[in-house]
Amino acid sequence: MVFSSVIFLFIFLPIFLLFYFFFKKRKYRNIVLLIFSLLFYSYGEPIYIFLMILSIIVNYFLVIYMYKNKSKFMFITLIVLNLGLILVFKYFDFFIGNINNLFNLNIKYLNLALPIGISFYTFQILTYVIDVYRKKVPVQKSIINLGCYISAFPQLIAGPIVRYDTINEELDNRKESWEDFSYGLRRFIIGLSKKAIIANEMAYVADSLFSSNLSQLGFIGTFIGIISYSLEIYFDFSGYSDMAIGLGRMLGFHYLENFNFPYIAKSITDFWRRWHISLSSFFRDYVYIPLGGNRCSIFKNIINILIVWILTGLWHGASWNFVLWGLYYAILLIIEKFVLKKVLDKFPNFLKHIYTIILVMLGWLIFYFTDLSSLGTALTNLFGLNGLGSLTLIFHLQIFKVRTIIIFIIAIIFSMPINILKKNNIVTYILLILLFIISVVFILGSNYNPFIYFRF
Amino acid sequence: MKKDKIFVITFLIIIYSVLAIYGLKQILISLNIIELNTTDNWKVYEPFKENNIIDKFENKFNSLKVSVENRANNYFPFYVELNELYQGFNFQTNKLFYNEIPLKTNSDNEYLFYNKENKFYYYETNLKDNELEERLNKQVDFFNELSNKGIDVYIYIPTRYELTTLKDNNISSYISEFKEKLNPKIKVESMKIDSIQEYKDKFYLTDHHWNIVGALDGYNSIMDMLGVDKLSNLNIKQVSNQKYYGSLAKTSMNTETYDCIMDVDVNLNYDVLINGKEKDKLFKPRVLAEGKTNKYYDYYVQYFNGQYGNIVYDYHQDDKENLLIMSDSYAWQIDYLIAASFNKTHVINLRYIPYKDKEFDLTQYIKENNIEKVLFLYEGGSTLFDQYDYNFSGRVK
Repeated sequence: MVFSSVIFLFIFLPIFLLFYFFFKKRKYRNIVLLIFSLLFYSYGEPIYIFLMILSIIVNYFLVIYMYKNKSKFMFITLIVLNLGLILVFKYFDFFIGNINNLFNLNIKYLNLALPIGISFYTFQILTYVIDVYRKKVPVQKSIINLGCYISAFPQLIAGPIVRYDTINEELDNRKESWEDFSYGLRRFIIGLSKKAIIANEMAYVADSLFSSNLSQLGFIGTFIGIISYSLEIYFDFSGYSDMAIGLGRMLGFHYLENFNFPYIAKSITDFWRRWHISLSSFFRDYVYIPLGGNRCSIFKNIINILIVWILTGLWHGASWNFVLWGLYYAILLIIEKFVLKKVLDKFPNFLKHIYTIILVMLGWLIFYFTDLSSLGTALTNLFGLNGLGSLTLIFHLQIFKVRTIIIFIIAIIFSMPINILKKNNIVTYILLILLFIISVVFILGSNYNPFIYFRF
Repeated sequence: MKKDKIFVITFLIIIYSVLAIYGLKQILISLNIIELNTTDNWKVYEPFKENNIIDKFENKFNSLKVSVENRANNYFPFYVELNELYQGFNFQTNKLFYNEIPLKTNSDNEYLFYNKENKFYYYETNLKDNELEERLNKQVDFFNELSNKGIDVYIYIPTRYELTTLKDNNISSYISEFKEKLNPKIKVESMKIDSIQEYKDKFYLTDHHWNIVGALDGYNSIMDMLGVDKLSNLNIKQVSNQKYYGSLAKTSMNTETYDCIMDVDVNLNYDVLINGKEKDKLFKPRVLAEGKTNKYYDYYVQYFNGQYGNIVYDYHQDDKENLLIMSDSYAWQIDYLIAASFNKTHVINLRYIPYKDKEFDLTQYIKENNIEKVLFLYEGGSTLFDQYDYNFSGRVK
């Protein structure tokens, strides 16, 4: 189930809120949250829900055992188990494919469907296991609470990656209030409109262009495509994070921010402090620093950065383009850190922005194309090696629509820090309700796909 | 605090009202007190092949999910009106930029367009060249295989706008490629359209079908191709002045232009079997149910009614051959006219019961029913590319 669907907005959410707030005791509210979270997940994954339940149960008991016995062996077992799960489902076939290609073998693929959200909830479990082992947080004695932490529907499918220490206290001692609910609702509506109005429109442009004949797109088509994709991925992902943070706040949880206007960044280092903060901070705290971070030789530091970024790339998907994408950022960050930093500091701000945004957009191109030959064509297009491109094709795809242009302008404006919709006044609330209604119309409109007999 | 409360309560009123309306509509519809305006957006779940108990469970679960989602969308308050507003906005604003206005895509993701200058709707495939080529070759293989089995195959291709040279970026070249690749024993004809006016004369402006003028033009070519006598003095009449907004206008929810239903003025005597059962020849009412409240009411379906898998026209002319017409709704206007020159004419539409969910062995059917000739009469794109997945190649054993 996705948040931007009528079934979530008008069936799941109201029924959930009714049950949740019907109970006064924290324990019962957590039970309601857990049951509805499992229902939410099973709606999209009716089979893999059992994997998640098993994961909750196994981690619950084994972490308690690890904690009581201070067992390093159990700690390693838990890390292997949880990473093993993600390795099997997400990376096994990728690995086999490469082995087959490299040694001309024919090892059979597992062909397992990827459980939705596995990358997010596995990392959440890891923060719990590691933090308990490090004695940073106490072990969770209630399986209901642990289940709520792992499977809470607000952040289950697309993050942010909520660390256990962030909500450890709130699992038992949170307080729902009108103010929090109102703030959460505001964030939810803003996130919903980012997704339903902006991201979907930008996706239409990017997908129309990139699924057409790439070699005819040339520079102009590829450039428009990549700007649209950059906006799509930002508004889609940050919209989802807004909705997750908002829903969490309605229930009294204070999830940390996941985005901080990344497209105003003045360097790649700055960009990664603003983009998918929960992931980059996870890798920083659980991989980079344990590897030695920057408190080591330059060579070791460079190796650490490379490891972290190849892992970051692979986290996004089992494909070589993601490895390339991670490597791309590793190299950029290394150059910035050891070579460019002092030079960049002397640049005027607008040049820093341009430098950053161009490199980030180039990165999204690598991110978009899982097929390396298409990526090659798109890159040659972007560097003008295939000419300006066919305007006939671009016009034929008819991406220049009034609605698209209006939304494009709105997207650019709202990529920057703007204080509209942050004030607590009646006008803001009216605007938010209107925004909600418009988002629903967009959702309904995009669903309206008449199944008419005329195909027969 | 007070403002926060008002904001939250307003939101809750909205979502709980919609939830209440869902419940109410479900009850009223199940009690037959109200009915849905349209079921156009009612999606159908097509189960996949079940190999184990998990597949079975997933099919059941997904079917339930689609059913719930259908209700969530279609029972939404002011659903049609909100969509009209959404489409209307798109349509009006797009006019500012384009002469040929994109409206939206249909459920096959084909782009719908409106030719403002000439006032007709059309759509075009979004299949890429290599996909079209692959599909065309598959179709050719199918027809050639039939011919190689000794079956007398005839193909007629009505040329919708994108299959004519009148349109920029047309796909007309596939027709000649198709003809060239076919076994020479197969007789194939395509409709010739030389001007926009001729196209507008032969096809509905708002619908994807040919009209009776086009269908009769096709009829004449088909009969010549089949080498049989044809009916003469077939006069065309306009059935009524009722405005007909066809499938393309309906999908785009737009009423820029309209059509009227026309038919031939003829009365023929024959017996008819539908799915093996005798029916009155007036199973096609040939009376227009005028004045329907839904402005997109499908008068084509109502008037030329042919939503059956198997129709047999029996003209009791034992000295003549038996014909099989494999077809879609394009045949509805003229199938009984073609049949008049044969003994028994079997008309099969694979989209309907009993063939919808059932295996159909074309070669066996031909043998069992003493069929001498087989005519394929589909919308051009289906013949060339099987774009609506009739699974032709799976129908020959």
